[in-house]
Amino acid sequence: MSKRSHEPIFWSLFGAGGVVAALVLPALVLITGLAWPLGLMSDGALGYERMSSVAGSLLGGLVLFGVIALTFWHAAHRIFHSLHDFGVHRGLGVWKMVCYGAAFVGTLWTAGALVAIAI
Amino acid sequence: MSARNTYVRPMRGWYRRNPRFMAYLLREGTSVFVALYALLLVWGLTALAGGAASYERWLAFLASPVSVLLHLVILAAAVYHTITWFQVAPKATPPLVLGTKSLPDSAIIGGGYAAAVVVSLVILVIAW
Amino acid sequence: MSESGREIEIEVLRYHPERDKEPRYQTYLVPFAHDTSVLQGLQYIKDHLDGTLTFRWSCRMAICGSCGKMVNGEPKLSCHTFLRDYHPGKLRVEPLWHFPIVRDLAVDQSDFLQKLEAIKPYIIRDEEKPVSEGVYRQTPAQLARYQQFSQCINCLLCYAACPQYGLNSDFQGPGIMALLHRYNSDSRDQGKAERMPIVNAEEGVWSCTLVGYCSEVCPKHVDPAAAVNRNKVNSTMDYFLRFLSPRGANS
Repeated sequence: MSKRSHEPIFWSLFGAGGVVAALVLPALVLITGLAWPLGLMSDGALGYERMSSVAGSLLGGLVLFGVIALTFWHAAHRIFHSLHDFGVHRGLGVWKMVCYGAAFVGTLWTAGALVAIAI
Repeated sequence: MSARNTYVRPMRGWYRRNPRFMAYLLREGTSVFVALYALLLVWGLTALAGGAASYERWLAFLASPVSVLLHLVILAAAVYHTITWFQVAPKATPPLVLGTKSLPDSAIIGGGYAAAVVVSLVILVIAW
Repeated sequence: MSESGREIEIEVLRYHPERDKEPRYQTYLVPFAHDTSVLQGLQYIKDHLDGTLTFRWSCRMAICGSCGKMVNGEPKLSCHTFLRDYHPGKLRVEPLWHFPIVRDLAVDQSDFLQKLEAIKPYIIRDEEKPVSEGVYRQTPAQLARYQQFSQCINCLLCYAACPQYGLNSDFQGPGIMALLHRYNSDSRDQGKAERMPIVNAEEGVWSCTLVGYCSEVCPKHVDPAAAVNRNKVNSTMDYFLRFLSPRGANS
Protein backbone atom coordinates (compact mmCIF):
# COMPACT_ATOMS: atom_id res chain seq x y z
CA MET A 1 0.00 0.00 0.00
CA SER A 2 1.55 3.34 -0.98
CA LYS A 3 1.98 5.95 1.69
CA ARG A 4 -0.70 8.66 1.84
CA SER A 5 0.79 12.04 1.04
CA HIS A 6 0.30 15.05 3.31
CA GLU A 7 0.17 17.34 0.31
CA PRO A 8 -3.56 18.11 0.81
CA ILE A 9 -2.65 20.43 3.68
CA PHE A 10 -0.19 22.47 1.67
CA TRP A 11 -2.24 22.30 -1.49
CA SER A 12 -5.29 23.69 0.28
CA LEU A 13 -3.24 26.61 1.59
CA PHE A 14 -1.73 27.04 -1.87
CA GLY A 15 -5.17 27.11 -3.43
CA ALA A 16 -6.65 29.53 -0.94
CA GLY A 17 -3.63 31.79 -1.24
CA GLY A 18 -3.77 31.61 -5.01
CA VAL A 19 -7.38 32.73 -5.15
CA VAL A 20 -6.78 35.54 -2.66
CA ALA A 21 -3.65 36.70 -4.45
CA ALA A 22 -5.40 36.54 -7.82
CA LEU A 23 -8.28 38.68 -6.62
CA VAL A 24 -6.55 41.13 -4.33
CA LEU A 25 -2.89 41.64 -5.27
CA PRO A 26 -3.18 43.54 -8.56
CA ALA A 27 -5.19 46.33 -6.91
CA LEU A 28 -2.91 46.44 -3.86
CA VAL A 29 0.20 46.57 -6.04
CA LEU A 30 -1.38 49.36 -8.04
CA ILE A 31 -2.00 51.30 -4.85
CA THR A 32 1.36 50.92 -3.14
CA GLY A 33 3.35 50.98 -6.34
CA LEU A 34 1.78 53.56 -8.56
CA ALA A 35 -1.37 55.26 -7.32
CA TRP A 36 0.03 56.45 -4.02
CA PRO A 37 3.60 57.36 -5.13
CA LEU A 38 2.22 59.26 -8.10
CA GLY A 39 -0.12 61.23 -5.81
CA LEU A 40 -3.29 59.85 -7.37
CA MET A 41 -4.89 59.03 -4.03
CA SER A 42 -6.58 61.25 -1.51
CA ASP A 43 -4.43 62.89 1.18
CA GLY A 44 -3.63 60.52 3.98
CA ALA A 45 -5.08 57.52 2.17
CA LEU A 46 -2.03 55.49 3.16
CA GLY A 47 -1.17 57.78 6.07
CA TYR A 48 -0.13 56.64 9.53
CA GLU A 49 -3.42 57.49 11.25
CA ARG A 50 -5.64 55.80 8.69
CA MET A 51 -3.46 52.72 8.28
CA SER A 52 -3.07 52.31 12.04
CA SER A 53 -6.82 52.29 12.54
CA VAL A 54 -7.41 49.95 9.58
CA ALA A 55 -4.69 47.47 10.54
CA GLY A 56 -5.59 47.81 14.20
CA SER A 57 -9.26 47.04 13.71
CA LEU A 58 -10.45 43.45 14.03
CA LEU A 59 -11.79 43.23 10.48
CA GLY A 60 -8.87 45.07 8.92
CA GLY A 61 -6.36 43.03 10.87
CA LEU A 62 -7.99 39.73 9.93
CA VAL A 63 -8.18 40.70 6.26
CA LEU A 64 -4.54 41.81 6.15
CA PHE A 65 -3.47 38.68 8.01
CA GLY A 66 -5.45 36.47 5.66
CA VAL A 67 -4.08 38.11 2.53
CA ILE A 68 -0.45 38.18 3.61
CA ALA A 69 -0.29 34.78 5.33
CA LEU A 70 -2.11 32.91 2.57
CA THR A 71 0.09 34.61 -0.04
CA PHE A 72 3.15 33.31 1.80
CA TRP A 73 1.80 29.76 1.84
CA HIS A 74 0.83 29.99 -1.82
CA ALA A 75 4.28 31.19 -2.87
CA ALA A 76 6.12 28.72 -0.62
CA HIS A 77 4.28 25.77 -2.17
CA ARG A 78 4.87 26.93 -5.71
CA ILE A 79 8.52 27.78 -5.15
CA PHE A 80 9.13 24.43 -3.44
CA HIS A 81 7.62 22.49 -6.33
CA SER A 82 9.48 24.63 -8.86
CA LEU A 83 12.75 23.50 -7.32
CA HIS A 84 11.86 20.01 -8.46
CA ASP A 85 11.18 21.37 -11.95
CA PHE A 86 14.71 22.73 -12.03
CA GLY A 87 16.24 19.41 -11.15
CA VAL A 88 16.70 19.82 -7.42
CA HIS A 89 15.95 16.30 -6.27
CA ARG A 90 18.36 15.69 -3.47
CA GLY A 91 17.76 17.14 -0.07
CA LEU A 92 14.15 17.85 -0.90
CA GLY A 93 13.28 17.38 2.76
CA VAL A 94 15.53 20.28 3.68
CA TRP A 95 14.07 22.52 0.99
CA LYS A 96 10.57 21.64 2.14
CA MET A 97 11.50 22.80 5.64
CA VAL A 98 13.05 25.98 4.26
CA CYS A 99 10.10 26.93 2.03
CA TYR A 100 7.23 26.07 4.35
CA GLY A 101 9.26 27.14 7.35
CA ALA A 102 9.67 30.56 5.79
CA ALA A 103 5.93 30.74 5.20
CA PHE A 104 5.34 29.75 8.81
CA VAL A 105 7.75 32.43 10.07
CA GLY A 106 6.11 34.98 7.78
CA THR A 107 2.72 34.04 9.14
CA LEU A 108 3.82 34.41 12.75
CA TRP A 109 5.59 37.70 12.04
CA THR A 110 2.52 39.12 10.34
CA ALA A 111 0.34 38.10 13.26
CA GLY A 112 2.82 39.63 15.66
CA ALA A 113 2.99 42.92 13.78
CA LEU A 114 -0.80 43.18 13.61
CA VAL A 115 -1.18 42.44 17.31
CA ALA A 116 1.45 45.10 18.06
CA ILE A 117 -0.47 47.60 15.92
CA ALA A 118 -3.77 46.75 17.58
CA ILE A 119 -2.43 47.23 21.07
CA MET B 1 15.21 -3.14 -19.74
CA SER B 2 18.98 -3.12 -19.63
CA ALA B 3 19.00 -6.26 -21.76
CA ARG B 4 17.57 -4.16 -24.55
CA ASN B 5 20.00 -1.31 -23.90
CA THR B 6 17.29 1.32 -24.04
CA TYR B 7 18.41 4.93 -24.13
CA VAL B 8 17.07 7.36 -21.54
CA ARG B 9 17.18 10.95 -22.71
CA PRO B 10 18.28 13.48 -20.04
CA MET B 11 15.77 16.03 -18.77
CA ARG B 12 18.32 18.82 -18.54
CA GLY B 13 16.93 21.95 -20.16
CA TRP B 14 13.53 20.35 -20.73
CA TYR B 15 11.80 23.71 -20.42
CA ARG B 16 13.62 25.02 -23.48
CA ARG B 17 12.24 22.28 -25.71
CA ASN B 18 8.80 23.80 -26.15
CA PRO B 19 7.50 27.37 -25.63
CA ARG B 20 4.56 25.88 -23.75
CA PHE B 21 7.00 24.86 -21.00
CA MET B 22 8.50 28.34 -20.81
CA ALA B 23 4.99 29.74 -20.34
CA TYR B 24 4.52 27.28 -17.49
CA LEU B 25 7.77 28.39 -15.84
CA LEU B 26 6.74 32.02 -16.22
CA ARG B 27 3.51 31.22 -14.45
CA GLU B 28 5.30 29.44 -11.64
CA GLY B 29 7.82 32.27 -11.47
CA THR B 30 5.10 34.74 -10.52
CA SER B 31 5.26 33.18 -7.06
CA VAL B 32 8.68 34.76 -6.46
CA PHE B 33 7.32 38.26 -7.06
CA VAL B 34 4.13 37.54 -5.18
CA ALA B 35 6.23 36.48 -2.20
CA LEU B 36 8.34 39.60 -2.58
CA TYR B 37 5.24 41.75 -2.39
CA ALA B 38 4.00 39.96 0.70
CA LEU B 39 7.39 40.69 2.27
CA LEU B 40 7.00 44.34 1.33
CA LEU B 41 3.60 44.42 3.01
CA VAL B 42 5.02 42.74 6.12
CA TRP B 43 7.75 45.39 6.18
CA GLY B 44 5.01 48.00 6.00
CA LEU B 45 3.10 46.43 8.88
CA THR B 46 6.28 46.14 10.92
CA ALA B 47 7.03 49.79 10.23
CA LEU B 48 3.46 50.70 11.18
CA ALA B 49 3.81 48.84 14.45
CA GLY B 50 7.05 50.72 15.08
CA GLY B 51 5.39 54.13 15.10
CA ALA B 52 4.89 57.11 12.80
CA ALA B 53 8.59 57.70 12.11
CA SER B 54 9.35 54.15 10.94
CA TYR B 55 6.15 54.07 8.92
CA GLU B 56 7.08 57.32 7.15
CA ARG B 57 10.35 55.65 6.15
CA TRP B 58 8.38 52.83 4.51
CA LEU B 59 6.17 55.33 2.72
CA ALA B 60 9.30 57.17 1.55
CA PHE B 61 10.60 53.94 0.07
CA LEU B 62 7.31 53.45 -1.76
CA ALA B 63 7.81 56.86 -3.35
CA SER B 64 11.30 55.99 -4.59
CA PRO B 65 12.00 55.14 -8.27
CA VAL B 66 13.38 51.76 -7.17
CA SER B 67 10.08 50.93 -5.55
CA VAL B 68 8.02 52.09 -8.53
CA LEU B 69 10.13 50.00 -10.89
CA LEU B 70 9.92 46.98 -8.62
CA HIS B 71 6.17 47.42 -8.39
CA LEU B 72 5.84 47.47 -12.18
CA VAL B 73 7.52 44.08 -12.35
CA ILE B 74 5.44 42.79 -9.44
CA LEU B 75 2.29 44.15 -11.08
CA ALA B 76 3.04 42.24 -14.28
CA ALA B 77 3.61 39.09 -12.23
CA ALA B 78 0.44 39.60 -10.18
CA VAL B 79 -1.71 40.18 -13.25
CA TYR B 80 -0.19 37.18 -15.04
CA HIS B 81 -0.91 35.12 -11.94
CA THR B 82 -4.54 36.26 -11.93
CA ILE B 83 -4.99 35.47 -15.61
CA THR B 84 -3.34 32.05 -15.49
CA TRP B 85 -4.95 31.11 -12.19
CA PHE B 86 -8.49 31.39 -13.45
CA GLN B 87 -7.46 29.88 -16.77
CA VAL B 88 -6.60 26.60 -15.04
CA ALA B 89 -9.26 26.81 -12.31
CA PRO B 90 -11.78 24.75 -14.35
CA LYS B 91 -9.36 21.80 -14.26
CA ALA B 92 -9.76 21.49 -10.50
CA THR B 93 -13.48 22.18 -10.46
CA PRO B 94 -15.78 19.16 -10.26
CA PRO B 95 -18.49 19.35 -12.91
CA LEU B 96 -21.48 21.40 -11.80
CA VAL B 97 -24.59 20.00 -13.43
CA LEU B 98 -27.53 22.37 -13.80
CA GLY B 99 -30.48 20.46 -15.21
CA THR B 100 -29.04 18.61 -18.18
CA LYS B 101 -26.10 20.88 -18.98
CA SER B 102 -22.89 21.13 -17.01
CA LEU B 103 -21.24 24.47 -16.35
CA PRO B 104 -18.76 25.14 -19.18
CA ASP B 105 -15.13 25.97 -18.43
CA SER B 106 -15.54 29.39 -20.00
CA ALA B 107 -18.11 30.30 -17.35
CA ILE B 108 -15.66 29.49 -14.57
CA ILE B 109 -12.86 31.41 -16.28
CA GLY B 110 -15.09 34.37 -17.08
CA GLY B 111 -16.50 34.33 -13.57
CA GLY B 112 -13.04 34.42 -12.14
CA TYR B 113 -11.96 37.35 -14.27
CA ALA B 114 -15.17 39.20 -13.44
CA ALA B 115 -14.60 38.61 -9.73
CA ALA B 116 -11.03 39.87 -10.04
CA VAL B 117 -12.18 43.07 -11.72
CA VAL B 118 -14.96 43.68 -9.19
CA VAL B 119 -12.75 43.01 -6.17
CA SER B 120 -10.02 45.24 -7.62
CA LEU B 121 -12.45 48.09 -8.12
CA VAL B 122 -13.84 47.68 -4.61
CA ILE B 123 -10.34 47.79 -3.13
CA LEU B 124 -9.37 50.83 -5.17
CA VAL B 125 -12.54 52.66 -4.18
CA ILE B 126 -12.20 51.80 -0.49
CA ALA B 127 -8.52 52.66 -0.42
CA TRP B 128 -8.83 55.98 -2.23
CA MET C 1 2.55 10.48 -54.20
CA SER C 2 4.77 12.82 -56.12
CA GLU C 3 2.17 14.38 -58.39
CA SER C 4 2.47 17.73 -56.69
CA GLY C 5 6.26 17.52 -57.03
CA ARG C 6 6.85 18.88 -53.52
CA GLU C 7 9.43 17.46 -51.20
CA ILE C 8 10.15 17.99 -47.54
CA GLU C 9 13.23 17.30 -45.42
CA ILE C 10 12.46 14.93 -42.58
CA GLU C 11 15.10 14.65 -39.89
CA VAL C 12 14.59 11.46 -37.92
CA LEU C 13 16.15 10.32 -34.66
CA ARG C 14 18.00 7.06 -35.16
CA TYR C 15 19.10 4.69 -32.44
CA HIS C 16 20.16 1.10 -32.96
CA PRO C 17 21.32 -0.18 -29.58
CA GLU C 18 23.52 -2.88 -31.12
CA ARG C 19 25.72 -0.27 -32.78
CA ASP C 20 24.87 3.17 -31.29
CA LYS C 21 25.97 4.48 -27.91
CA GLU C 22 23.56 7.38 -28.26
CA PRO C 23 20.92 8.62 -30.66
CA ARG C 24 21.85 10.52 -33.83
CA TYR C 25 19.83 12.20 -36.53
CA GLN C 26 19.42 11.27 -40.16
CA THR C 27 17.77 13.42 -42.80
CA TYR C 28 15.69 12.17 -45.71
CA LEU C 29 14.07 13.97 -48.62
CA VAL C 30 10.47 12.84 -48.89
CA PRO C 31 7.97 13.69 -51.63
CA PHE C 32 4.45 14.43 -50.45
CA ALA C 33 1.00 15.35 -51.63
CA HIS C 34 -1.68 17.44 -49.95
CA ASP C 35 -2.97 14.54 -47.86
CA THR C 36 0.32 12.86 -46.92
CA SER C 37 0.62 12.28 -43.21
CA VAL C 38 3.84 12.21 -41.22
CA LEU C 39 3.26 8.46 -40.81
CA GLN C 40 3.08 8.04 -44.59
CA GLY C 41 6.28 10.05 -44.81
CA LEU C 42 7.97 7.61 -42.44
CA GLN C 43 6.54 4.70 -44.40
CA TYR C 44 7.95 6.20 -47.61
CA ILE C 45 11.38 6.39 -45.97
CA LYS C 46 11.15 2.77 -44.86
CA ASP C 47 9.81 1.50 -48.18
CA HIS C 48 12.04 3.46 -50.54
CA LEU C 49 14.96 5.10 -48.77
CA ASP C 50 16.01 3.24 -45.65
CA GLY C 51 14.46 -0.06 -44.67
CA THR C 52 16.18 -0.03 -41.29
CA LEU C 53 13.92 2.71 -39.86
CA THR C 54 11.78 1.36 -37.02
CA PHE C 55 8.52 2.90 -35.88
CA ARG C 56 5.13 1.82 -34.54
CA TRP C 57 1.82 2.31 -36.32
CA SER C 58 -1.39 0.42 -36.97
CA CYS C 59 -4.79 1.83 -37.81
CA ARG C 60 -3.72 4.98 -39.72
CA MET C 61 -6.86 6.70 -38.43
CA ALA C 62 -6.13 8.07 -34.96
CA ILE C 63 -7.91 5.40 -32.96
CA CYS C 64 -5.34 2.73 -32.07
CA GLY C 65 -2.89 5.02 -30.30
CA SER C 66 0.21 3.30 -31.74
CA CYS C 67 1.83 6.01 -33.85
CA GLY C 68 2.62 8.75 -31.34
CA LYS C 69 5.80 10.69 -32.15
CA MET C 70 7.39 14.05 -31.36
CA VAL C 71 6.92 16.24 -34.41
CA ASN C 72 8.96 19.45 -34.18
CA GLY C 73 8.88 19.23 -30.42
CA GLU C 74 5.17 18.55 -30.06
CA PRO C 75 3.59 15.18 -29.25
CA LYS C 76 1.39 14.14 -32.18
CA LEU C 77 -0.24 11.10 -33.71
CA SER C 78 1.82 10.76 -36.87
CA CYS C 79 -1.15 9.43 -38.83
CA HIS C 80 -3.10 12.52 -37.88
CA THR C 81 -0.42 15.11 -38.67
CA PHE C 82 0.24 16.30 -42.19
CA LEU C 83 3.46 17.15 -44.01
CA ARG C 84 1.80 20.01 -45.87
CA ASP C 85 1.59 21.94 -42.58
CA TYR C 86 5.36 21.88 -42.11
CA HIS C 87 6.54 22.55 -45.65
CA PRO C 88 8.68 24.47 -46.61
CA GLY C 89 10.26 24.15 -43.17
CA LYS C 90 12.07 21.10 -41.95
CA LEU C 91 10.37 18.35 -40.05
CA ARG C 92 12.03 16.71 -37.07
CA VAL C 93 10.56 13.42 -35.88
CA GLU C 94 11.63 11.92 -32.57
CA PRO C 95 10.33 9.22 -30.27
CA LEU C 96 7.86 10.33 -27.58
CA TRP C 97 9.66 12.20 -24.82
CA HIS C 98 10.01 10.86 -21.30
CA PHE C 99 10.17 7.22 -22.36
CA PRO C 100 13.32 5.18 -22.87
CA ILE C 101 14.12 4.63 -26.54
CA VAL C 102 14.11 0.99 -27.60
CA ARG C 103 15.01 1.51 -31.24
CA ASP C 104 14.70 4.50 -33.57
CA LEU C 105 11.21 5.92 -32.97
CA ALA C 106 9.92 3.09 -30.78
CA VAL C 107 9.78 3.70 -27.01
CA ASP C 108 9.57 1.40 -24.02
CA GLN C 109 5.95 1.55 -22.87
CA SER C 110 6.23 -1.03 -20.10
CA ASP C 111 6.09 1.53 -17.28
CA PHE C 112 2.74 2.77 -18.54
CA LEU C 113 1.43 -0.76 -18.98
CA GLN C 114 2.42 -1.70 -15.44
CA LYS C 115 0.70 1.36 -14.05
CA LEU C 116 -2.39 0.60 -16.14
CA GLU C 117 -2.68 -2.83 -14.63
CA ALA C 118 -2.23 -1.44 -11.12
CA ILE C 119 -5.22 0.94 -11.25
CA LYS C 120 -7.61 -1.95 -11.96
CA PRO C 121 -9.10 -0.54 -15.15
CA TYR C 122 -12.33 -2.54 -15.05
CA ILE C 123 -15.68 -2.37 -13.29
CA ILE C 124 -15.27 -3.59 -9.73
CA ARG C 125 -18.42 -4.77 -7.96
CA ASP C 126 -18.96 -5.73 -4.32
CA GLU C 127 -21.17 -8.42 -5.75
CA GLU C 128 -21.35 -9.34 -9.40
CA LYS C 129 -24.78 -8.95 -10.93
CA PRO C 130 -25.85 -12.28 -12.43
CA VAL C 131 -26.72 -12.33 -16.11
CA SER C 132 -30.27 -13.38 -15.25
CA GLU C 133 -30.84 -10.01 -13.58
CA GLY C 134 -30.24 -8.23 -16.84
CA VAL C 135 -28.00 -5.37 -17.89
CA TYR C 136 -26.76 -2.38 -15.89
CA ARG C 137 -28.73 0.72 -16.74
CA GLN C 138 -27.33 4.23 -16.87
CA THR C 139 -28.96 7.57 -17.45
CA PRO C 140 -27.37 9.98 -19.95
CA ALA C 141 -26.25 12.05 -16.96
CA GLN C 142 -24.47 9.05 -15.41
CA LEU C 143 -22.81 8.35 -18.74
CA ALA C 144 -21.74 11.96 -19.08
CA ARG C 145 -19.83 11.77 -15.80
CA TYR C 146 -17.20 9.44 -17.24
CA GLN C 147 -17.67 9.32 -21.00
CA GLN C 148 -14.94 11.73 -22.06
CA PHE C 149 -12.39 9.88 -19.88
CA SER C 150 -13.33 6.61 -21.55
CA GLN C 151 -12.15 7.95 -24.90
CA CYS C 152 -8.49 7.41 -24.01
CA ILE C 153 -6.66 5.39 -26.66
CA ASN C 154 -3.49 4.92 -24.56
CA CYS C 155 -1.45 6.81 -27.13
CA LEU C 156 0.95 8.22 -24.50
CA LEU C 157 1.03 11.72 -26.04
CA CYS C 158 0.07 13.13 -22.63
CA TYR C 159 3.08 11.43 -21.06
CA ALA C 160 5.34 12.96 -23.68
CA ALA C 161 3.79 16.32 -22.81
CA CYS C 162 4.16 15.94 -19.05
CA PRO C 163 7.47 17.25 -17.66
CA GLN C 164 6.63 15.91 -14.20
CA TYR C 165 6.52 12.39 -15.61
CA GLY C 166 9.78 13.08 -17.38
CA LEU C 167 11.38 14.29 -14.15
CA ASN C 168 10.00 11.39 -12.11
CA SER C 169 8.66 8.30 -13.82
CA ASP C 170 7.21 7.10 -10.52
CA PHE C 171 4.46 9.66 -11.13
CA GLN C 172 1.31 7.87 -12.27
CA GLY C 173 0.91 10.38 -15.05
CA PRO C 174 -2.05 11.96 -16.83
CA GLY C 175 -3.37 9.05 -18.89
CA ILE C 176 -3.42 6.60 -15.99
CA MET C 177 -5.21 9.11 -13.77
CA ALA C 178 -7.76 9.77 -16.51
CA LEU C 179 -8.46 6.04 -16.78
CA LEU C 180 -8.61 5.69 -13.01
CA HIS C 181 -11.06 8.58 -12.92
CA ARG C 182 -13.10 6.94 -15.70
CA TYR C 183 -13.76 3.93 -13.50
CA ASN C 184 -14.27 5.86 -10.27
CA SER C 185 -16.84 8.01 -12.06
CA ASP C 186 -18.75 5.09 -13.55
CA SER C 187 -21.99 4.45 -11.65
CA ARG C 188 -21.58 0.72 -12.16
CA ASP C 189 -18.22 0.69 -10.39
CA GLN C 190 -17.83 0.12 -6.66
CA GLY C 191 -14.06 -0.01 -6.52
CA LYS C 192 -13.19 3.60 -5.64
CA ALA C 193 -11.80 2.65 -2.23
CA GLU C 194 -9.37 0.23 -3.88
CA ARG C 195 -8.06 2.92 -6.18
CA MET C 196 -7.79 5.80 -3.70
CA PRO C 197 -4.38 4.78 -2.26
CA ILE C 198 -2.92 5.28 -5.73
CA VAL C 199 -4.57 8.71 -5.96
CA ASN C 200 -3.54 9.76 -2.45
CA ALA C 201 0.13 8.85 -2.76
CA GLU C 202 2.84 11.40 -3.50
CA GLU C 203 3.25 9.77 -6.91
CA GLY C 204 -0.50 9.87 -7.47
CA VAL C 205 -2.14 13.21 -8.09
CA TRP C 206 0.35 15.10 -5.92
CA SER C 207 3.19 15.03 -8.41
CA CYS C 208 1.11 17.07 -10.84
CA THR C 209 1.76 20.81 -11.03
CA LEU C 210 -0.97 21.51 -13.57
CA VAL C 211 1.28 22.34 -16.47
CA GLY C 212 -1.83 21.43 -18.44
CA TYR C 213 -0.04 20.54 -21.65
CA CYS C 214 -1.31 16.96 -21.43
CA SER C 215 -4.89 18.02 -22.12
CA GLU C 216 -3.76 20.25 -24.97
CA VAL C 217 -2.08 17.41 -26.86
CA CYS C 218 -4.69 14.72 -26.25
CA PRO C 219 -6.10 13.69 -29.64
CA LYS C 220 -9.32 12.45 -28.06
CA HIS C 221 -10.02 15.46 -25.83
CA VAL C 222 -9.99 13.31 -22.73
CA ASP C 223 -8.74 16.22 -20.58
CA PRO C 224 -6.43 14.25 -18.28
CA ALA C 225 -5.47 17.48 -16.49
CA ALA C 226 -9.05 17.74 -15.27
CA ALA C 227 -9.04 14.10 -14.19
CA VAL C 228 -5.88 14.58 -12.14
CA ASN C 229 -6.85 17.89 -10.60
CA ARG C 230 -10.41 16.98 -9.73
CA ASN C 231 -8.87 14.05 -7.91
CA LYS C 232 -6.68 16.47 -5.98
CA VAL C 233 -9.97 17.78 -4.60
CA ASN C 234 -11.17 14.21 -3.97
CA SER C 235 -7.91 13.30 -2.31
CA THR C 236 -8.03 16.41 -0.14
CA MET C 237 -11.58 15.67 0.98
CA ASP C 238 -10.56 12.09 1.63
CA TYR C 239 -7.60 13.34 3.68
CA PHE C 240 -9.60 15.66 5.91
CA LEU C 241 -12.87 13.75 6.13
CA ARG C 242 -11.55 10.20 6.51
CA PHE C 243 -12.01 10.24 10.27
CA LEU C 244 -15.72 10.89 9.81
CA SER C 245 -16.36 7.88 7.61
CA PRO C 246 -17.87 4.84 9.40
CA ARG C 247 -15.57 2.55 7.49
CA GLY C 248 -12.52 4.52 8.51
CA ALA C 249 -9.87 5.65 6.05
CA ASN C 250 -10.48 4.77 2.41
CA SER C 251 -7.01 3.29 2.29
